[in-house]
Amino acid sequence: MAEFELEDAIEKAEKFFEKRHSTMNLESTRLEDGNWHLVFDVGFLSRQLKEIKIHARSGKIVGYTSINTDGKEDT
Amino acid sequence: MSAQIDAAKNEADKYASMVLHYSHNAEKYLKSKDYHKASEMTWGTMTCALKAVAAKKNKNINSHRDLGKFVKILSKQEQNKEIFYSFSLASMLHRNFYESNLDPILVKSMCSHVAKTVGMLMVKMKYQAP
Repeated sequence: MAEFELEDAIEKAEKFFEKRHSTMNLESTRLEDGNWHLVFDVGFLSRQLKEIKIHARSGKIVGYTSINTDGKEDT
Repeated sequence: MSAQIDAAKNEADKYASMVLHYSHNAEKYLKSKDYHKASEMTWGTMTCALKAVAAKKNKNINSHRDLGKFVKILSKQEQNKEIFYSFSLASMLHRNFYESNLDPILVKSMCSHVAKTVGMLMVKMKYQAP
């Protein structure tokens, strides 16, 4: 059971990305292994995907990775 | 004939580099939350991208009206309604520069949408989008 709801996770992720990128569009969300996995497109002219992992109980950011547009992780 | 092709390419290259300049500034102003300037820079990226496409087709665009006509035709030729839709959004952003009446959430979303279409046009013209 997630104590940190999806809406809270999205808000936290947006605040995190706001400092680093000019735009962000949420592409996908999933709850896996107790973490929210949120994928955002943070590219301006081109697609640039970033995944942020947020612990679903504590709300802490536990991971942040770039994803190649072919779907592979590019940490 | 070759000189004419070179001139068209140079003109297109000039506008393509302006796209990069304006998009860099649009991003900068979005980050600093200066939304009316970001609006105008995003309008700049759209118009320069369209002018680059027009230059490649040996067409001169000298007015907003010409730009509107060109984008309508281009959208039909490419069978891509996004081009015309993004131009409409960019026009609203241009107006926002003078009137500052759009909500920041809308500005961010509109800038992002327009920029993606500009990026697509750049790739189509074989320019690398950053």
